[in-house]
Amino acid sequence: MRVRPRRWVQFAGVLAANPWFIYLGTRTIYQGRAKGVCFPGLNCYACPLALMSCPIGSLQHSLALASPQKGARASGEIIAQAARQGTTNAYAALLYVVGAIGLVGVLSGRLLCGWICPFGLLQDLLFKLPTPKLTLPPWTRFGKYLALAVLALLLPHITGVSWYSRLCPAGTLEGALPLKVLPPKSPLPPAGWFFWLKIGILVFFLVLMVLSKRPFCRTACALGASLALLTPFSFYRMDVAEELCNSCGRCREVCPVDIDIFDNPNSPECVRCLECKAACPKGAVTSGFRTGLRGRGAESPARGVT
Amino acid sequence: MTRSSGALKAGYLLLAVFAGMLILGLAWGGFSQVLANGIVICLDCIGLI
Repeated sequence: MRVRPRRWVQFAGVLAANPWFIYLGTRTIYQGRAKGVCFPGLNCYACPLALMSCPIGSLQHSLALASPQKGARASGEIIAQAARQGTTNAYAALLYVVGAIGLVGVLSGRLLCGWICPFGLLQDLLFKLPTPKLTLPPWTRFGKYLALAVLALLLPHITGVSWYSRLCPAGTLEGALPLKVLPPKSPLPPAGWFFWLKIGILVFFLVLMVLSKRPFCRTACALGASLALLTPFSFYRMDVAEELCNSCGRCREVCPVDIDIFDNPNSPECVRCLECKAACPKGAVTSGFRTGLRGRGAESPARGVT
Repeated sequence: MTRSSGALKAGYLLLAVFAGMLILGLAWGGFSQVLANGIVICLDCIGLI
């Protein structure tokens, strides 16, 4: 079986985000300088192998530290202490995290969702399991914007608690479960009811991933939502040349987020995986960085570039 | 979807704003400690402490 280049890049993304195999010997979660860098994909930084930070986790953490509650509702002295230590630099972290997410979004839209996000790779692979498939109703896409606004931005600032991370299934899969199996040196107390609630959310999404295309990206990913909001302004553009398209529908078939590239080449839902571009028998789909009003579409009239 | 000159201008404006925020955050300093400390909060998030 031939593995496509995108799959190799996705696996490389998993490895780039989680190369701290030293944990297996030391059982100490990495907290060095590289943790100060946001990985441009959804990768839990509580994962024992994680080297970098989750941008959405960092965003909430900064907002929680800048909150009037400042960790007051956090359970336990360890957390309250960490919150106090970080308070003074919370605004610097907030500027850094928002700037980093924003730059990625303006430059490439959701390109990195399609190419390096570890949770995206998991969804792509699980959907390959041969089962009956579901089509998600279009309104479910608004869920991710709600999750971003309420769970990742508003509530962390009001309550001082990172609510999105608390419910995030990527955190359960990449952080909670590995830490239960291979606990760190400092002992962890037994898992409480909240842990089991998180397991329930994870199982729900895992089942949905088998049945439908990238359900988490489309309905619940706060990082995807923030990048999607910037997609209309992004410099990475998709184009479809109408005169070449023979409406064979192959692009729709291979699309991992079920969009019609012909109708809207620069849809906020598009993860820029470029599967449609590879699958188009007529070469009607093109893409690239466009810094002006006219790109390659100037020579051939293409949708998406004027 | 076509790209208007307004969207292009907004793209450059957003690029400048986000780059400015990133540079300001880097220049302010201390952000890396905040992010590294986030792991402790995260352990709480995943229901383990």
